[in-house]
Amino acid sequence: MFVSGGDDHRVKVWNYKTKKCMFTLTGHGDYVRTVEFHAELPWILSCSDDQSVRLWNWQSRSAIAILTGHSHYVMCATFHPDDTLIASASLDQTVRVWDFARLKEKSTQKTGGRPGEIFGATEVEVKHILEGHERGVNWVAFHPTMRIVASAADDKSIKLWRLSGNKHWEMDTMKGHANNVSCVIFHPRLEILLSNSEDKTLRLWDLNRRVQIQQTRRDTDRYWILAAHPTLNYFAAGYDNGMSVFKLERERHASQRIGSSIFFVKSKNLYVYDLSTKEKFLMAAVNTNGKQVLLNQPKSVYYNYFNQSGHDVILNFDGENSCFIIYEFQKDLKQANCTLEKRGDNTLGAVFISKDKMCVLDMNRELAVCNLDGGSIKKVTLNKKGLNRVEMIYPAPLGRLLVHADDAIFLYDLAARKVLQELTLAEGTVVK
Amino acid sequence: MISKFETKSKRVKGLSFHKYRPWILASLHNGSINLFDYRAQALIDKFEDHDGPVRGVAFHDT
Repeated sequence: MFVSGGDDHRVKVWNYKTKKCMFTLTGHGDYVRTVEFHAELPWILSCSDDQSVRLWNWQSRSAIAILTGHSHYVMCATFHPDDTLIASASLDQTVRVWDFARLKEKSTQKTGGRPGEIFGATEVEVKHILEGHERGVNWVAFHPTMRIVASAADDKSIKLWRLSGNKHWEMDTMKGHANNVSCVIFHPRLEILLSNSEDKTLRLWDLNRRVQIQQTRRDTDRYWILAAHPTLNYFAAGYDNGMSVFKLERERHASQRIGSSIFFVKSKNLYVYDLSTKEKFLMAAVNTNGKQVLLNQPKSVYYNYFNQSGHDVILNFDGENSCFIIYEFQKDLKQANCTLEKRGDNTLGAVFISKDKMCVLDMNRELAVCNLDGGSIKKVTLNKKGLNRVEMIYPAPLGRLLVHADDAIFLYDLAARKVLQELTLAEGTVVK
Repeated sequence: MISKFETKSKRVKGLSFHKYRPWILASLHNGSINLFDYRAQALIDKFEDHDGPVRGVAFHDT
């Protein structure tokens, strides 16, 4: 079963198995903006340009409450995940938080209410009116566990509000969007907010530090809507010419296997796992030093197999502020003693090319050979005709480099300065 | 961000994930509601009964 609401003022309930509209709820006098089911009660919540928020019982197929008070279009209405609260956002520049405890009580009493009775202000009271936005508010979301509300508005800002008893206050304002903010949602499990806007960007925000941590831009599409999967790490965004389902990060941990050792990062720690003894050893805590690397999960882990006398590991991070971190360890991995930890900022990837050298691709897509302490030795200009854009570099045998550039992958010899082998990629090939 | 599935359509104004199945509903500005399987990367069904843009859509948890 699902519910929909449209510009025809109608709320429709559908059976996707029979592929039919089961019934239509009428009453709204203008465009219906959002619709939602309650998690337990047989209720539907809707809001409309007619300035009202409405509750419907989908079992009796009738209206049960009309919440009035907003003085402009109501753009979004949502149930609290477990409390008897509703939040609504309106172009009247406010967010209202309503408490329907009394309505719930009445509706679950057998004696309560005459059939067909529609409730209003006495059964659903306004608990908070959140004022602060300077333009209309398009979206409102409850935090899944904390008493926090996020709102997105035409004043280009996102605001966070804290509710406490009958009190509320504005916690913070997050600016960055260059146009009306369409939608904002909380990550169901992590301390992250997602927002999107008519400025054609989708942005991620750190909920604790309230700073932007990532953004993606579409060339021609304004964004309109966001949704989070309730249990899996999927998100979806709707825009002018379609929609996209995406994940924020890889779920498979980056790793590298060398002989019987597997190097990997989990929960901000670098580990080595020994396949023969089935033991796991902590090698280092991954500290990105406040550098905003999303969720701290590296995109690749490289072990220096050219170095026979020690152990070196590179972690490459991507995202808006991507970087690499290199670690050097003393002989025994089981008592890993980190003797060097060095970070290189604004890099796309770093790989080992010899015992004591690595090759680094920077944000300008320029290559350089560096010492393991990060000191640059020389710039590398790839000797290849028609080379346009280097996408990424990957490890190869001594003194060589695998390069993904344009629509090809090639093996490059750094000393001889020539392409040894080349593979042309079919259009749309994903290189991982 | 890692894209898993993309569709081309008219303006998407409403989205809802199914809690258990790999499904997503998209309600469109042209009046249609599309049901996709994002794992199989396929359109499963279209629901067309609204007259005008459909701005909101939501699955029930069942």
